[in-house]
Amino acid sequence: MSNTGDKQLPYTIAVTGGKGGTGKTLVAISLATYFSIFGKNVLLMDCDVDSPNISLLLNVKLSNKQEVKVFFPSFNPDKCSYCGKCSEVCPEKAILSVKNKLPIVFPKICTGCEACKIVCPEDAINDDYKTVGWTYEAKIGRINIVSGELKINEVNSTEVVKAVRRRSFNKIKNSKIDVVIIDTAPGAHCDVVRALNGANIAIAVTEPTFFGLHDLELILKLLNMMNLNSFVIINRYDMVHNFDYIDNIVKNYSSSIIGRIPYDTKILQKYVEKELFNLSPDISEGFKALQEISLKLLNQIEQKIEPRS
Amino acid sequence: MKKFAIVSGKGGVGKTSISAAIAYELSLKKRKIIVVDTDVDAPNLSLLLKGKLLIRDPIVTSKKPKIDPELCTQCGKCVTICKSEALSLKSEWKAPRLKSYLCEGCGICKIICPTNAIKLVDKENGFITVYDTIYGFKLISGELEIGGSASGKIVRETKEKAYIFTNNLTDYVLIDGPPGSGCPAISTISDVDVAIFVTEPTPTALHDLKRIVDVKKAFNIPGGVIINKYNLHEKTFLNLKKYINSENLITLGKIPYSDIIPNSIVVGEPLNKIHPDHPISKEISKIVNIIEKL
Repeated sequence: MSNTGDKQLPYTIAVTGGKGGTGKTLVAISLATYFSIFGKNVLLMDCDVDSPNISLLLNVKLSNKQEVKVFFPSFNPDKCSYCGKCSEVCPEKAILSVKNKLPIVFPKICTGCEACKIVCPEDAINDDYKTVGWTYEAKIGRINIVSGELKINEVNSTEVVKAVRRRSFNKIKNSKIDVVIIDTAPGAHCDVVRALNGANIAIAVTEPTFFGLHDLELILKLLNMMNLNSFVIINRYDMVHNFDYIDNIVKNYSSSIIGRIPYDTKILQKYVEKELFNLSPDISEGFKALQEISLKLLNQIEQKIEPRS
Repeated sequence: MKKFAIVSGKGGVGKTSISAAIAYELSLKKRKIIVVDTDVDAPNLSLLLKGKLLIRDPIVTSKKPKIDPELCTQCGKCVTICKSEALSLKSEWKAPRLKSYLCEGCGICKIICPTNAIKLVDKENGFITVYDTIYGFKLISGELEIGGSASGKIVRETKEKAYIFTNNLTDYVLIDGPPGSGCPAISTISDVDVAIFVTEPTPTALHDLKRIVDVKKAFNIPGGVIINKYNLHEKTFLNLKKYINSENLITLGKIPYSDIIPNSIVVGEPLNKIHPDHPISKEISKIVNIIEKL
C-alpha cells in the first residue's frame, strides 16, 4: 500500500482474477479467517464497491457509516465572468457554458476532478459536494472489515474505492494490524487498479474454462504492467477435465499456481448459509485446500516480515 | 426493433452462456438480430459465438498528459496536484513520468503547469470488434484497454457502433452486459427496452441483483429474471422468488445446475447447439418465447 506517513505498512495481499464469480470473495474471506486462526490481526478491505459482499458472507453487521463525498462545483454569481474556461477544460463535458449566464453542471456526469475550479481565473467556483457512496466498518474475531458501497445510479466507483483505502490507512495507523487483504471488483479497469495499487502480492482466482482463462490473461497482463508479483488459484479445478491451458498462461506471465480448490458442495453450502467464519479445514477437501493456500502465503509473509528490525 | 440487455449484478452467474443460448435460439427462429458484448472488461461472448473478424477499430475516449522535457522545469507542481498519484519525479529525470494506469485524464496537470510543458493527447483506450458469426448475425464486442478508465463511454460507443448495423428488418438487439451496478452496467441498460436479469439462489447474487434492479428503476422499463442453478439452495431460492414477486419482475425461466454449461464453454459453442434436446435447451426456448412477447 502507498504511504501512510512513517509507519511501516503491514503485508498486503490483493485478491483479484478478471472474471466475475470465480471465487475472489471466498478466497479473501478464507485467507482472513485462517490468518486470524493463526493469531494474526487482519484488515479485510471490500473494494468491490459495486457488489460488496464480504460482510454479508461473514454474517456481520456493518456500522459506523460514513458518506463518500466528492467535489461538485458551485458558481459564485458575484465573481463569475462567464468566460467559459471551466467548460473548456472539463474532461467529462459536464459543464455547459451559457452566454452571460452562470454555467450549468450536469451532476450525473461530473466526476469531481476539480479541473474547473483550478482553471477559473476569477476564483468563482466554490466547493460543494455530492455523495457518491458510503464506507463502513465491522469486526469479527481478529478480522477488521472496511467496506465500501457505491450509491445506486452513481458512476464514480473509483472515489468509493479510494475512500475505502483512506479509511483503511487510518485504521492501520490506530490499531494493530498484521496483514491486509483486499477483495477487488471483477474486471481489469480503473477500480481494480486502485484496489491493487501498492499491494505486496496479488492473488488471481480463476476457473478452468475459456472464460476464466481469457480473463486471467487480462489480469496477469495488468499485474505485469503494475510490476506486481502474483500467484494464481484455480477454483473448481476438477469441474472440467484436462484443462491445462492455465498452466501455460501462468508460466508466460511469470506467475505461479499456489493452489487448486476442488468443486466442493460443502463450500457451496457454507457460502449460501453465510457460515464462512472460523471454519475448520477438516470439514472438506475444499476448505483443506483453502487452508493450505493460507499457510503457504503466511510463510511468504513471515519471510518478508522477519528481516524488519 | 427491440433492445434487450442481459445483466446480473453478481459476476459468474451465467450471463454470457445464457446470452449465447438466447442468441442461438433466436437465430434458429430466423429472427434478424444484432448481438453486442458490453462486458468491456472481460468480453467473452465471442468465445461462444464464433465467427469471422470483420473490423477491429481502436477507440479514443480519454486523454492523457504528454510532458515536453525541453519545456519542463521540474518544478513538480503537476506531481503534487495529481489526485491520482499518477505522476512521479526523481531528480535525475528530465521530466515527471506518468503511470498511465493510474491517470484518470482530468488534465489538471496541464492547467497547473507554469511553462506549458504539458499537452493532453488522445489515448486509445479500447477496441470495438465486429464479427460475422457462423450463425448469420453480427456480434459487436467492446473491449477496454487493460487498466483503463471510462468503461461507460466504451459501452456507449460499442452500442452506437452496433446500432449502425441495424435496419428496419432488425428484430432485436441483444446486449450481454457486465457484472456490477456501476458505470458500464448503467450505460448498458440506459437505452434498452427490456432488462433481463440472470441470477442464482445465493445470498450474494440476491444482494447484487437488488442493486442492479434498483439501477433499472431509474429507466422505467420492464424487467424479467432468469434463475440459473435454481436448485442450488432451496431456502435462498424461495427468498429470491419472494423478492422477484415483490418487485413485479417477470420470472422468465429457471435453469437447474448442470455441467453442460461449463462444458459448452470448453467446446466453445452455445449449449443449445451442442445439446438441442436437453431440458435446459427446451427451457431456453421457452424463455425466448416469453421474451419475444415482452
